[in-house]
Formats: sequence, structure tokens, C-alpha cells
Amino acid sequence: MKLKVLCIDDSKSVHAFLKQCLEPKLESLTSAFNGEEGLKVIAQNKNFDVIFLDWEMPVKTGPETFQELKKNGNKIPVIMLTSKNNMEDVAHMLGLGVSEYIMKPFTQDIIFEKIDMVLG
Amino acid sequence: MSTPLVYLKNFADFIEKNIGIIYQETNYFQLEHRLNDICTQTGVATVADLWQKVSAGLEPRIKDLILDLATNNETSFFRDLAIFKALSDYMVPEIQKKYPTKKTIDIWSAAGSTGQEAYSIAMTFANCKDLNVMFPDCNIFVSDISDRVLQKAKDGLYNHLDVQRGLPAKNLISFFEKEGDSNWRIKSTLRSKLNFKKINLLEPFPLIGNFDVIFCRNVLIYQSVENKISVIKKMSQLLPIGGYLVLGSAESMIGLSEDFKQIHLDRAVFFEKIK
Repeated sequence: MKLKVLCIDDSKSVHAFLKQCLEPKLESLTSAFNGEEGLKVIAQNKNFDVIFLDWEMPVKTGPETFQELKKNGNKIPVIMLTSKNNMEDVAHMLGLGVSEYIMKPFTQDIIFEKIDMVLG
Repeated sequence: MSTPLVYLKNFADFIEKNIGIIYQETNYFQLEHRLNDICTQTGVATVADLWQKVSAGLEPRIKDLILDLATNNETSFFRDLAIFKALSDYMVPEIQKKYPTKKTIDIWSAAGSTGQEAYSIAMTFANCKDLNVMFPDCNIFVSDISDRVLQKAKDGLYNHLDVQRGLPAKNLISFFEKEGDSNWRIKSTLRSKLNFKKINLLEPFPLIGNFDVIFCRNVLIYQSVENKISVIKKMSQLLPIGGYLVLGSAESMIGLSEDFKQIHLDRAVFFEKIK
């Protein structure tokens, strides 16, 4: 199965790295560079297999964006990307329904394994 | 290659004799590279000098380093996830049906490398116990031929990439404690389920007790057919009827033993002892 991925992250290098990692399995990668942009993309198109969501971003943070996604009835698995390692915060987000969590920096193996975990 | 071929052949024979791993001549460049690393590490000038020390048998530490270099320690948490689901949903309940008085399941992680397999088993049991207090406890015995990797398994200390390979975030939170900026240590409650011992699977097994399940995944693929038969026979003797042997997902038992029947469960493949 080829993947339709939405990446919401303020770092262009993360988008480029994700695209490079996922290339063999990628149908499309849509980019948004802050939470507000990401919410606009999803309002227009819900046809994604997985969303990568950065934790710390300008305009709207990852946790704030996730809360809005949840309020809007989002069913797409969300993998949070972060260099933040406060486990209490991460546990809180997992409790709210975030599917998985990836600590930066990460490798291609980790990306594929986490996608397998959330898509079964 | 700067090392005379004869020395590389000597080392290849030495490794095959001791742990059964066969280095083809086409891979001697890789062997030489690894032997050069050991020379640097031990302050020995050349691979030829290293051979003099090993053949004289005076330095067991160097022997250990050489056998260590030949083993493949590639592993990750929950590698081939289906087998851990088969363990909790099929093997353990079946063992309990056959042996209803059994309260603790004994498991051997053979050639368990740096411990990710054994800790994944321990996490599987702990998660099941959270959902069902009647789920049995486990004792996990971990062996490896390498002191170095066994020490890492005992320490239960992994870096930030290790803990993301195959490990669901909820397990990281439940079973690890952060140590320093980027390391994570398995909590002592989980570490206490494991016992460790250095074992060369090609030698007679020491007295290590009996097991309900033995994991020996992706270990025998490097061995000759004779060695595979011998190791499986010794493992079979430690399992009861109805016990399970778990090999790598691509490993077969054909022509190796008639003590087992193969079971397929979703994407998991494993072997039940039938005689």
C-alpha cells in the first residue's frame, strides 16, 4: 500500500527527510509548516493515512493542533515528532489519543516501524 | 588486503570451530577490518601478531573479542511483533491448559544479544497482567556467547534510537526511566524478571533448568546442518511436550528434528514439541 502522508512541522529539513525516508512507500506527502496551516489542509482534505505532527511550532503548537483535530472528530492516526523528552507530557498526549511518538533525531527504520504500529 | 591470507584463514577456521559461524573467503575483507579493530583496541601491532597470541591460548580476553566480532547483534524491541502476540494469546494459554498448576512460565532467550528480545517478552507479560490479573508470571533466562552484549542486556540501558526501534511509546513510558539526556534504563521491576548466563550453544549446555518456551531466533541460520540438528536436539530436551521453540520467521525445521510440529498463527510461525 502506498501512503498518503501529511507532515505538519515548521522545519523544512524534517519534510525533506521524511520524503526521502518514505519514498519507496509514498503516494503523496503534503506539507504544512504550522498547526494552523495543518488544520486548514485537513479541513479541505481528510484523505491521509497518517499525520506527522511536530510538538513545538509557531502559531499553533502540536498539542494545541491535536486537541482541535480531536474536537473535529479526526480519525487519522497522528504520530508526534519531538525533541521534547518530558515523559509526563508525552504520556498525557498518548492518553488524549495520539497514536505514537517519535523523538528527534530519528532514522528511516524508526519511521517505518512506527507507521506499522499505527496502521497495524 | 594487507594481511597474508593464511592468517585470515586461521582466524576463519578458529571462529568456525568455536561458534560454528562460517566466514567465506569473499568476506575476508570484512573479517580483516574487524580484526584490525581488535588490534587497535588491544594494542597488538598486526593481525599476524594477534594470531600468535590467540594460537598460544594465553589471552582469553582476545579470544572473547574475536568470537564477539563474528556474531551479529542486530536486534530491536518487539522484532517480528506477531510472535509476541502469539506468545501471549496462544502459547501461554495453551501451556496453562496442558499444565494447569503452572503459575510461572519459564522462557529462555537463547543468543539473546543485548536483551531487547527478553525485555520485550517481559513487557508482553506485564501488559497482559495489567489487563488480566490471572495472567501468569514469567521467569526469563537470557544467554549469549558474548560477555559484552550480555553486560549490556544486564544493564538494561539503551540510547534514544534503541528505544524507538520497535518499541511502542506507551511501553517506553511504562517500563523505562530516563537517564541523562538521551539514555533510557529498563525499570528494575522488569529487570528483576531476567537472569543471565554466558553460553556457547555449540557446547554442552550447563545445568540451566527446563523451559516452557525457548526463543532462538535468527541464530541457527549461520550454522551448518549438523550444528543446527545438535542445538535443536539439546533444546528439545529442555522442553516439555507442548512446549514451544521459536526460531526466526524465515527459519525452517525441515530435516532438522521430528520432535516438533510447525504452527502458523497470523504472521507468526513457531514450533510445538510433540514428542
